[in-house]
Amino acid sequence: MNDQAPSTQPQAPGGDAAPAGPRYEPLAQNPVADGINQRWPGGCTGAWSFLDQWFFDVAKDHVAEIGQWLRDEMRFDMCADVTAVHYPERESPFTVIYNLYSFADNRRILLRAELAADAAIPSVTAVWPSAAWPEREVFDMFGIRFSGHPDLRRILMPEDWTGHPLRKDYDIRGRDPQWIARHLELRTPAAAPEGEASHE
Amino acid sequence: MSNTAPPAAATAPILKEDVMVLNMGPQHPSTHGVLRVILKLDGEKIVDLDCDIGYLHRGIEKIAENRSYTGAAPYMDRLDYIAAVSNNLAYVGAVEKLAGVQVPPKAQHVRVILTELTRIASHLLWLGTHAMDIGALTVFLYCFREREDILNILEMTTGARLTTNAFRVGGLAADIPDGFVEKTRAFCDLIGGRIDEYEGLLSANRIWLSRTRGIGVINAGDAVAIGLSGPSLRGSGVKWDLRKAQPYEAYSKFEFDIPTGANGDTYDRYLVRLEEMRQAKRIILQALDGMPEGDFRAKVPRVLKPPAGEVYHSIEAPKGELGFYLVSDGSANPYRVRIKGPSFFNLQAMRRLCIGHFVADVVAIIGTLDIVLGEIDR
Repeated sequence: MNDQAPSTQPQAPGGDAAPAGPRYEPLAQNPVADGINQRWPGGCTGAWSFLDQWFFDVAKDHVAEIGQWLRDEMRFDMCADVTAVHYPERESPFTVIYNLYSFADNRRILLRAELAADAAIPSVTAVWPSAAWPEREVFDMFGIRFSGHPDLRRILMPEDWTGHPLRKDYDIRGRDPQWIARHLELRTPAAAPEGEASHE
Repeated sequence: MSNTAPPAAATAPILKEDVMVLNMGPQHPSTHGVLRVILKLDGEKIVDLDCDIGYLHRGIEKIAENRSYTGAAPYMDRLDYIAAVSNNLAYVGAVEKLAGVQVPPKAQHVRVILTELTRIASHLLWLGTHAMDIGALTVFLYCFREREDILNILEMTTGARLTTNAFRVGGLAADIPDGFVEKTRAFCDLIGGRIDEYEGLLSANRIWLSRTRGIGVINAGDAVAIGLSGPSLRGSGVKWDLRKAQPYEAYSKFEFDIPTGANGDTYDRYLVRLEEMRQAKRIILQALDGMPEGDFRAKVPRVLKPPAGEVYHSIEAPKGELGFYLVSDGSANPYRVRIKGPSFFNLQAMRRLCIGHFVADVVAIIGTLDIVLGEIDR
């Protein structure tokens, strides 16, 4: 990964320079980053401070083991959230974000793991049971598969829906005409009025 | 617990042991919205259950990506519509953190007052419906009487009773109206005695005790692991409140206690929420006493373009940790808005809490988790 800008600092569309503001500063000698790299060489490719928040770019293959170590040794007892962001223009278009909290240190960290379009990422449900539903939601909304998840089903959208609504290429008015025809019998896809975007 | 005992069928193979599947909801009065629970029963005992959610999914995270930062704010009121003010505060706070906006002290005080009033309103609605689900009908009417006073204060301040859109990036929409301070004080004078009345109806009531004590027990370690937050976590004895742990707005100025439970059961969570209402009143009175003079809103550009980057900001909403994770690409619309709502995670604990209990206890456990489907489904 490049050393200049953190990978998740999004580029403004059209190549405009982003307005001046707070920058991601590298975290030097950070116990989390150093600990990860000691145990999994190359496991933490970036450690950043931004608006008093700590971000760590981690290798996606080691996420579950890193999580286990963070929970047991660094006392990040709570996984407050798992979510994802879609950057379609990037080589690894998905970033999964883990929001971890340590009661002992009153410290919150965000782990970021990048993955390719068709890749799967290890599930952290064995480490933090609270990750079960948010991982299902990421699967539902982005189509990211979590290997080792005990119950990876859609959670908010209907089970037989096609498409993943929070991907950037999914239109805001996108829908699944076949699903609608099948379940609601409102209108067939061919009869959808002009200008109504449909997905797939 | 009870499901460790071998089934009777093990000794009498002729009798076929069957698990019955019972569908509860999505239109059930005690599910407080459109929640469907699929129960697997051995007689009256719950062997397993699965929550089917998403009936109220409106794609608010997707909508927010297609709105400006300010234009997305009113949608956030529709998450936890019982406590719209809190949703608004968390979202606006996240945008302010990202854009580096300083909120004037007066606005911070009014924000604290309104969110604490909302906490009381949310807990009142929880108490009323929770008690009604278990069979104590009178409490419901009492609670709604007091909640009405809060809604009146919200109405005179924001113009709306439910989806208030109370705050703006940088402060408030307008200065507090005449009579706000007096009305809020009058409410604070009243509510303390009223909470005692609710306690009189319930806390030593034998039916209430037998329906809530030892029901839905979870210890502190499990509660943290499954992601509980707010009163549901504090009922298990974890003394963690974001207003103290990572203070936002003006909370560091005020004195208040964090009540915790000892047994992690439905009764303890009830006691925690009652005490939180009293503490909320304490905070409101301090905020009124120390109300600063000055502006109610900072100068914020009409078209807000926060610098590129990402931010996570969370507050202690009435139901637990409500957080917003925003990603900005430097444009006028957020690139990604992630809503971490407490109800979603609290409901996740339901399976763990229900297994081994009776069907009738499901109603008590849904009530004690204090969920709102608008926030779960988003």
